[in-house]
Amino acid sequence: MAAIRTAQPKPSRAGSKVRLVLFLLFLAGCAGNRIEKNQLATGGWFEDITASSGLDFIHDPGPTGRYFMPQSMGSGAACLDFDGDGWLDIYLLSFGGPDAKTTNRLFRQNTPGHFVDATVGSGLALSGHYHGVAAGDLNNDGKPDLLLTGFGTFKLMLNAGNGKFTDATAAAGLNNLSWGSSAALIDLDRDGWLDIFVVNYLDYDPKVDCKSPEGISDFCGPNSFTGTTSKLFRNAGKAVAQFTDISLDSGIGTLRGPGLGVTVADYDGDNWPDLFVSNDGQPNRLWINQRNATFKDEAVSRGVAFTSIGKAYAGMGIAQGDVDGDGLIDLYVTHLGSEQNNLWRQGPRGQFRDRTAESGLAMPRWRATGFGTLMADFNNDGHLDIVVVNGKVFRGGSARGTNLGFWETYAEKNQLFVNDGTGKFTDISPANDALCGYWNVARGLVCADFDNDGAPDLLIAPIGDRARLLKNVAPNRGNWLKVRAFDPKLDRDTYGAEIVVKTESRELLRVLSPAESYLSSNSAVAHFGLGKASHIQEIRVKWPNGQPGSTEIFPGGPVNQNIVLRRGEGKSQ
Amino acid sequence: MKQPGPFFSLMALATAAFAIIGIGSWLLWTLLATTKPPLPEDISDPEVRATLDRARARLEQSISDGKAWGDYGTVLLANLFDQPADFCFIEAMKRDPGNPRWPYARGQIALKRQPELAIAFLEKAAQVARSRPLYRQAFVLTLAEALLEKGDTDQAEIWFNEQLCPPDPERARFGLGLVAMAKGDHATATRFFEEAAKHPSCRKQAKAQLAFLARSRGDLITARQLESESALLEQDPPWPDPYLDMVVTLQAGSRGAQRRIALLERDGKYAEALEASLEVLALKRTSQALTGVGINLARLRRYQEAIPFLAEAVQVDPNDSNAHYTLALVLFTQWEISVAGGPVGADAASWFRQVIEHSKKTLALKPDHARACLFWGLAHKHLGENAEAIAPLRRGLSVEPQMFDLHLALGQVLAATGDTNGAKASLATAKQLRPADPRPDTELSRIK
Repeated sequence: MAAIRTAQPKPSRAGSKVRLVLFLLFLAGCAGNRIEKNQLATGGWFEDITASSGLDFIHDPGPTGRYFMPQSMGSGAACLDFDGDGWLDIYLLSFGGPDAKTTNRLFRQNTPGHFVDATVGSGLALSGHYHGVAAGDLNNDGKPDLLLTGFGTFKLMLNAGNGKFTDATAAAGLNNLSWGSSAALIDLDRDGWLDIFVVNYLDYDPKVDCKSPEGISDFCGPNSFTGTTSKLFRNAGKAVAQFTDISLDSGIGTLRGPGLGVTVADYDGDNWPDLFVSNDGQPNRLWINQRNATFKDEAVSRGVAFTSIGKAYAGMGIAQGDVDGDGLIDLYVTHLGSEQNNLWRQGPRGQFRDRTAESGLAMPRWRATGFGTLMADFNNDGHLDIVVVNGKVFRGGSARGTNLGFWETYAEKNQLFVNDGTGKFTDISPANDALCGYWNVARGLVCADFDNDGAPDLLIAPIGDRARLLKNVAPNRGNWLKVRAFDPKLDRDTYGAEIVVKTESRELLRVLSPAESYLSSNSAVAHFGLGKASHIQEIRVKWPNGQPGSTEIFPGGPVNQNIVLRRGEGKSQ
Repeated sequence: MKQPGPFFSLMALATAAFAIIGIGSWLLWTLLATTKPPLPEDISDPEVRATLDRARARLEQSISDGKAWGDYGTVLLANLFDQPADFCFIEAMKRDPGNPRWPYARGQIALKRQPELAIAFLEKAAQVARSRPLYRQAFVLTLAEALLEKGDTDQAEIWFNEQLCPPDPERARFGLGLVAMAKGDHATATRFFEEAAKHPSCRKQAKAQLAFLARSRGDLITARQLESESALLEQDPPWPDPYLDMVVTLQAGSRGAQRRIALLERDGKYAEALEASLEVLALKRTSQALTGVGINLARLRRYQEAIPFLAEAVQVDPNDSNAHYTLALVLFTQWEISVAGGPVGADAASWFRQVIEHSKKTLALKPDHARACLFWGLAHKHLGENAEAIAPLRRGLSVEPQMFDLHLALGQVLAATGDTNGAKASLATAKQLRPADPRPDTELSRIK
């Protein structure tokens, strides 16, 4: 929009209003191109600061050449403030196997944008086939814990403080023998204790040998196996973490996947958290909370199981957010490069429609197989943009001359789409070299304002390559606000809280849920881009317990700050 | 100097013209004639290699024939060599412009690889297919669907309307339902989906769309009913497509064989699946091939013949969990039938021990194999070792909590070990999972 203003000509002396209108219409029509040209002029929105950040992590995918399918699905990452110093730290997963010398690694942010390796002695130096991670305080002791999924591995690592985590899996009654992918922490029964939802993928047999058209071995696809059911563990609500497997009783365990991604939000507006699961080649699931510790899959009747032409594409990562400013959460799911990524916009409440084409997302600059994806307002103009990180699952890519070795044939480039404010997007990938000009086999993606400058940064977790930290350097960024929704009684961030920031011109909605993207756990701080708004009128927080007075209004204030809203300190609505 | 006469000038011009035409024709012929048919490199499957060699040789005998180029491209496409196939279709389109299959094939390839180019090819195919009714409907409807996905609803609607005619008007009706949905005309969409729902290629999908429409108008009961019905249906098979249906039959090598066997098994044609499995086994005696033969023999109740194949499979590859599981399954099935209701003799006991052994080996290789847990537990049950059956059955339930057989078996062994409450709970769950099955009630009545 700023581009249009700077390019706006002075009215014609001849008073040819028609010519002026036409010219303005022409400019409006070219808004997409202008947005991109601005990005070209300034070199993009991101700068790769990996080298200077201290984040020295190279993902170990395990031995290559066996075409062990889980290896191709990659690993995720988490951001969490494990030591409570106010700075987000990072935990990166690896896939070398139980006998590998490489491990998952924990990095502590010690100065803004700089990290030191804190793995040794943390208890998190774990070797295995790790896929997904969910961070959150499962025993309400004020310290975020980690739930890890993988192939042949599943762990609950409780934060004991002082930089140490302990394996509490067995003691907590947790077990998942299936191939686990993403995970979400959700207070399904609104009792104040986070429960665990684990997405399971396939009933995989390593002996099944899959081949490329040339007859060369390649990774299998999901069609070679059956999907498995996801798991739901209910928190017993004790200081000593204890869980009960309620997968079958809840209904979650009655329907198979193969699931890969998960997001949590109140999709039907009844103030109970629901779950959306992306399935790989099968209809997605929208698990609607029945308010009695059971869930029903209503994806079909709510319009989010299939695409607009009735296809069940290969669902991988999920991004969620209100892209069109109507106060309803929309869903974006990444798929194979031979398909398209799809945007389901919600409207009316609880009903979704695939609006990919009209959102400008059907014909990106290039097609790629998408995994990690997120919505964030990268340029702080008040509208959620979409980022996608890509990488093939079958050989035959066009990358050449990289240092990826075995993985080069699977490498692709990432993508960035900017929102014009109406839920229509423009592909500005070519103008963002640091993010999109790099060949990678990307999987996990985390978005967080690591350096606390008010702009969301990115952490990319690719297969067999260095994790990359991209600092947000978008030019002409608007104003911003960051909000933590904290419950002092629970001593933690309130997952599931809906936060609405009201400025003079609009209202912006965010759902506090780190479960998003693919295999990854994101920031529990809600970021709002505010454009040119100079003042916050008020902030509404709908606390996720459904009790009377669960919505509180907090007073507004200046922009460009971090605030913590504590439950009970607002005015009940 | 005397000027050349007009006749001479005319002759010179004519000669020059003929020379230009001749050279041009020669160049064109040379270009067309010497375009080399592509052959993918590094094909390790010998049957695929042989198939492509044969198809290419046929083309080389008619190198200027457009249909020959198209046929070779089709074989390449069938075996998933999209890029060389596309090259062939380019040649085919030049030389055989009246054949709609070639632009259609290019359109299908583009839909996967370069969707922005697909519409143009599909439009060309639709246009050329005006004179080829066999292909026209499928080609036009594929175009319509691509247009709809791209957001060109109006043009898609025109094409769908054109095809509201035999042989498959339901595909067009379904498409028009989607168009109506895109336009927000739910009443029209409902009408089209109700009509289209009769066709097996969109039964599940049509019910899904109708469920959405029911919820949209607030009819939650109908929405849930349709949602349940849709969930119970198998995935809709693809729409009939004369060209693509022919293409898949040309798939050669192990991929083609596996596809054929899977289709035969899906359709319950186990005798034919067995024949096909034996052909695969004749090529190479792998544990997978042996297991394929064994399982199809078992499906034909020829257990005594199946077991040697499966025993060989686990010897050929002791790390093949599927081979161990299949052997356990067949051993159990055979001997359960033979001892049905009667005491377990020494021979049968030995076989059940083998079931346990192979189930354990399965789980050692694949810890999440719930059905191996089931047979492990059931074998103990048949041996009268009910207490030993409990742990594997519970383990199976931790992986597949929705498996009726595990709950039933656990209920039976818990009852046998005196855990009445546990038995009742398991049997109640089994009954919930499969209300029409009388066995949980039978077992519950025994407990009372």
